[in-house]
Amino acid sequence: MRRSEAPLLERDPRGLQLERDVIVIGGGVNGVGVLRDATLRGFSVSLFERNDLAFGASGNSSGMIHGGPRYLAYDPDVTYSSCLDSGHIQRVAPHLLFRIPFLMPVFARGGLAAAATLAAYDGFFTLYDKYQPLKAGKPHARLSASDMQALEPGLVPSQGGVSFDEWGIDGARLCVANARDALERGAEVRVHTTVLEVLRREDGSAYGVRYRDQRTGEVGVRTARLVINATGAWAPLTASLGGLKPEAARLRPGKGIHVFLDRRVTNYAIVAKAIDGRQVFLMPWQNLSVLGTTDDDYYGDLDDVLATGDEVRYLFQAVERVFPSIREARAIGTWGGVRPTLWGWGMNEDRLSREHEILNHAKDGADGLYSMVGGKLASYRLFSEEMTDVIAERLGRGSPCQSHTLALPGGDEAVDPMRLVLEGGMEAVTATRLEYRHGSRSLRILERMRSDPREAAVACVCEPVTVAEIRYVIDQELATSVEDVSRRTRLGLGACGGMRCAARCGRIVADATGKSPAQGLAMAMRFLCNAARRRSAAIGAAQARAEALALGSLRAELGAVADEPEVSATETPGDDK
Amino acid sequence: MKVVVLGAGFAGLAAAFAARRAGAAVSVVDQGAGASALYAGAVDGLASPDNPAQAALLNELGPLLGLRLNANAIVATREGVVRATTGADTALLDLAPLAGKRIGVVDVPRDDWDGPLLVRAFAASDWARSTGTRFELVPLDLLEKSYQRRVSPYDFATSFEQPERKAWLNEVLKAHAGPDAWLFGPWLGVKRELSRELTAGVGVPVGEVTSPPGGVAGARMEGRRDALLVSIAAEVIAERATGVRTGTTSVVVTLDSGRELAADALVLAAGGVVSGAIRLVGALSGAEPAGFELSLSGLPLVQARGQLLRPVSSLFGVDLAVHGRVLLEHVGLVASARGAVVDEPRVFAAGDVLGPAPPSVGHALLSGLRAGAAAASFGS
Repeated sequence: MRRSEAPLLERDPRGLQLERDVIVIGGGVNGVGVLRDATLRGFSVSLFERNDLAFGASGNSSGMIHGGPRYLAYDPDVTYSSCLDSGHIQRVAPHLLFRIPFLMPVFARGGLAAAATLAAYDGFFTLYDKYQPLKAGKPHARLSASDMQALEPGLVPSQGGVSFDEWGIDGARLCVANARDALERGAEVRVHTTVLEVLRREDGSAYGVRYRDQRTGEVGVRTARLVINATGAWAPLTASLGGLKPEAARLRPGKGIHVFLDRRVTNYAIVAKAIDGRQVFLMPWQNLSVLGTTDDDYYGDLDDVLATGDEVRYLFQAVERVFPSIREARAIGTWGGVRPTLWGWGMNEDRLSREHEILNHAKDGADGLYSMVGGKLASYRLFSEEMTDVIAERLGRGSPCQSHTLALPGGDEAVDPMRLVLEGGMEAVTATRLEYRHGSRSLRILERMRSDPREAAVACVCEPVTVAEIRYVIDQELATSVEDVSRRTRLGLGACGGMRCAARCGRIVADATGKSPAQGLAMAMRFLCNAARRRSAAIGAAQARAEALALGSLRAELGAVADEPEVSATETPGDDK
Repeated sequence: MKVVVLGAGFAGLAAAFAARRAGAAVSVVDQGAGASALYAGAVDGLASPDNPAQAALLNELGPLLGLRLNANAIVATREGVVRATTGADTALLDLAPLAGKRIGVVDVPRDDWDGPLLVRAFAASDWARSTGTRFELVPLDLLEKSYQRRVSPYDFATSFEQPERKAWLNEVLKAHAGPDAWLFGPWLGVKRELSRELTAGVGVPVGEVTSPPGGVAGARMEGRRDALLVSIAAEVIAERATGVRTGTTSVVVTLDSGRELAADALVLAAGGVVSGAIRLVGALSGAEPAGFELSLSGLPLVQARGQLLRPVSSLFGVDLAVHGRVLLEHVGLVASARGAVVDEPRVFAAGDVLGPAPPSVGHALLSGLRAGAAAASFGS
């Protein structure tokens, strides 16, 4: 068994030429980041994803491309590279970023303590301001008590505070854009396809994967020179598929949940302190307000991460202290993800490193197999570039990295939403939401509406989402179920809980993918059931009536109600019988 | 004999009707929309009446509420499902007598209608396949103005109430020979019963699919509610009740305005969680004692799934992730089979507020008739 790197072999054990340069396992942001970067550099790449793109942490994060202020005090280089990369992401996908201004109020006993705290914040963010130009961020402002009240009247009176500037993003859209770009450049992307085994030669070197398509049951083999484990919190499990001990890609998975409200209740994101001293926030995000986040060691099923009542109440308790009217707010859902945090023993979750590492499993006797561990949404591009640098070095070829200069699909030119209004007959909110998600690609969706005016119909009223967009994400973005469509468009995640759109979306998916109407309905039921499971922990007094109404309406329209406990969280489209 | 009925949904109306027929004077206290005014048009869960007298009352009441009560009815839903039910708004097309026939499904490019896929779904249903019933898409140019594509179903429905529009629609359907019946979206009028008029005018059944919440079935229900309350000469009080006090000789209801209503018996038919009669309290904020409560003071609560609900031993309320959100449909007052509220003489419950049966129009109608009759005969 080889214990270290050796020249890469060109053939599999049967003597056949290897099919690809690289296989990437995992369709999260790091997986699709490597997929795109390596494809751009001229490598042939296949990606395998067990669930859907952005199924895990990438689609369930706080949805921010932040500049890493928390590193400023002890590792300013990380802040520099975070801000620089935030600027890069903004350049390649300008449509996906939206500004989130933060307010950090000061509450202290006594004027002296308040003044000292305020001065400390002011000094800290004066330093952070030096990095803001890298990401087109605005400088911070030191704010008086009355400034704070004027900006955010619902805030508990404070002793002043500071503002600072960050960028929000839809993580699922970011993943889809990366995958779509790679697809258009010739890469292979297989979603809902589980890797059963990482294949290794007698000398231990990795040469490919054996996989099963969950939808068709088809089992196959794909071979490649290098195999990249980019499966986030699943990384130890994936390592074990190659015969390695899970510890070879050891992580300390940290669950984080978010609760979202039916509307934006503040103009600014507000930083609050939880009962254990952790920082949490209430922030406007897309057309919602979001409370986040928790960070707890996670031992459960990664395919079925659910927020609990405790976690929801912990966040509400924290935010209520600085923004009391949150008590009357209507929470309409939660999302939860598991961070692939680097391993560490004997410390609180919050103190674990947010950095990333590339593990070369040559150390474990599996030359040619690499694991990407740690990392954050905000650093995905940089992490992917570093991984692809290793790939290029091992393969001894490849053009320079372009993932920070070439626009992602939709990011090449700005589209005026008014054009969509005038030419597509869309309402303004439909047009702006469509343009947000698809950038210049929204023109392709507009084209669909022109050739079939029926597709201009708004199917999901809450978000809103048109029929054309649903059909587009099925045709062009690998969506094969209602859940997939929802991940790409936010269909069915609004205040009505999918009561008005899920079944229709199911009919459209079934029609577009050659399934029966009954299979479409089953898909819708599964989506509704899973959305309800995710929502249940957050149902309070304000949502109870709507929830009861939705139950009655669904029973009337679908002839049944998708109850929570029986149905599995993950969709297995192959089971649509 | 004086009976106060709280709530004028299906349960309250049935109770008021039964109490009037039994000779009581009836006051109905009602404000706001509940599940009945938001219903889809289908009458589910209607069991056999308890006795011939009740059956006779039901047969009389059904048509007054615009309901066709038929234990073997089949309706099409706006989500492409063909399903059995025990009755429906008369404007809904009853498919049961149309088995094996050709049903024309109108195709209108409205946002709330995807005709081609709905027809596929109807045609692929077990019922259509087992009976050999055909569903055919028939494009009809029903939009007068392009904005009608997006107006609410309610507004679109009322546009056909104009006599010339209705006459035009009648001619369009007549000119289209072929279908044995016409299936429309939920657009066939609110005040006028266009389905009946068109059925007579065209010569084949014309009807709707189910309505969305806030759609025309609920709006028609509200119109018939008002007419029924007038026809039975019930006093109508458009206020919210805030409390109930029972004594040895009477029951007193306190209203929002502070006014008090005394009666010999009370029917509580104010609905469940949808109407706000039963509230989830204390959740998330920790500001109140936790659990479910009736929005009226003075009455005991509450059961769920046949068990008395104790206050939750948490300041943070009922965790529906643990109990399942379906619990919202199973909370209600503890009462006897006749609707008599346990430990509260003179108080009878009906409809969604009465646990533990899950909410349905059929249950509301029968429990309403029972409670109304029981209240009117209280003490006699």
